[in-house]
Amino acid sequence: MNKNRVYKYQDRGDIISHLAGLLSPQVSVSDYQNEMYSLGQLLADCIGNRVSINSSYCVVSTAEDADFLAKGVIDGLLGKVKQVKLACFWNYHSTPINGGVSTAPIIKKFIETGAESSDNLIVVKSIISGSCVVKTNLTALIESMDPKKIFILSPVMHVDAATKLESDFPKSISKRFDFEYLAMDKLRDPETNEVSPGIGGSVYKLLGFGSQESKNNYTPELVKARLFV
Amino acid sequence: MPEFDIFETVEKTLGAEQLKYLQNKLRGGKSNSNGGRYESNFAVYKLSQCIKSIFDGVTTKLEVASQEPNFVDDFVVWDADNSSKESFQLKNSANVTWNSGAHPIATDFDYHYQIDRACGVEKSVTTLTMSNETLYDELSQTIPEEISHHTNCILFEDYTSVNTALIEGHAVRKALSDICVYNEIDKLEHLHVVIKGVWEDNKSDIRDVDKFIEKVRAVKPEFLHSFASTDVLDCAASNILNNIDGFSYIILDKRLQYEYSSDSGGMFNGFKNMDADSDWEEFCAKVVEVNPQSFRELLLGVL
Repeated sequence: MNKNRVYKYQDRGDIISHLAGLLSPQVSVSDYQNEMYSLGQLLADCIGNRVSINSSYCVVSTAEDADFLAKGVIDGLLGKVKQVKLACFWNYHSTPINGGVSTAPIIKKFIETGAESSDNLIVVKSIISGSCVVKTNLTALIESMDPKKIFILSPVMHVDAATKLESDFPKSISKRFDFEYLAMDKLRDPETNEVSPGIGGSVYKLLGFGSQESKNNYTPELVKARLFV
Repeated sequence: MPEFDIFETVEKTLGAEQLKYLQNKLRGGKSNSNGGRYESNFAVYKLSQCIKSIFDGVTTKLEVASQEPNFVDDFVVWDADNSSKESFQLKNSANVTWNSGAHPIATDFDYHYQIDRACGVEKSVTTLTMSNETLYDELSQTIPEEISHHTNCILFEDYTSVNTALIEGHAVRKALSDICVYNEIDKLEHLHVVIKGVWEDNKSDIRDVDKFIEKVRAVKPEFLHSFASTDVLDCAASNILNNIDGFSYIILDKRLQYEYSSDSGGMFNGFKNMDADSDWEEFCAKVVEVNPQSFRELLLGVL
């Protein structure tokens, strides 16, 4: 047992096993993708008693998470809510000034018809570390919509991430946040600054994208299925 | 800015005692990190306005400085074309008056104006910048008469989160959106980070706003307006793109900005950076080669 990690559901062997699957040194790309999909379903299950069959939801995802974690969340919500729509963002995540803060400007986005009139938002991210990407994409949406509730779902969060995210929004927005995570990590790798053990390393590589550039040239099946009906 | 020995000018104009006071004041520096953050955020705001003035051709040469040796030294903008100088004193506190203390702000402003005039500055303005609205309301109504002809007050609220400031419509949002290709918070925040970082890394040796703009442009992406001549796609490529249902694009600031809308599916938009001329040529060649007949073919084969 890692003393720097806290599991939210300590009696759920299935959750702990899927989280461990992300950390396996020999994990294949397809196994990793499947683990993320399963974790998405589990996260949807965990918020099952906080969503309503009478309400509509917009799932907000990055391009890299869309076909795996976000698809798991969407599939897990079907039948439990009135409607699920998708908003997908391609971010360019970098630290433009050495030693400064990171930014994640949006270079492409897909907003499904009706997504912006959803009652609630569900922001999905494979890991919430500095919360920069979540902040950016959420901000882009709240400029044009007024969700009642904002769920923020991630298999793994850094212990400071929620506070950091809340501090980047006016109180009128952050009071609507409802975080759901499966594990909370305290440590960061001193060299990479990645959350440790987190989700096992660079999510681009582990999901099979190789690099940020190739991730940004990828169009998720989830987007294709909606855009090209 | 006019080249003068400031200390000699102070001694000649105001006397030895004021010279000693100025030397002590300059040794003091800022006492806390909140002051430093406030100064950096204000620098982003003023630099953005200076960049806009250059872009708009309002002036051809602007210089900026912070901690310039003088009585009002937090931020200075010097317009060489008009021999005008605006010097800002920043106060990120609610406890400020014009005339209290051993060295009142009003006296500093008066000394500063006298020294600027002695150095040949034709129009010298001293501006008290405050973060507290109540204080601003009070002090802006009670500017001492002896300095009122060269003194302004402005309200510049402090912020710890750039994102929150931009969402809430802080004045820095307009200043940034005036020089940014996009009025979207993700791009404005990125530009804020770039301007602030370049300023903090170079403020001791960069004064010329043109040189500052060059440094900002060296960071990619930076989203500053380029004012580059509008590129035109070659005829064959534009014909193909114009025939794709639901697709539209504009070419602006060395970017192809595009949007696709389908009634049933949704909206897809983005941009492609085209920094080099060869990027346009390669893009057009690819459009012609792939010859997309639908947005699906364009997105998956070209974009």
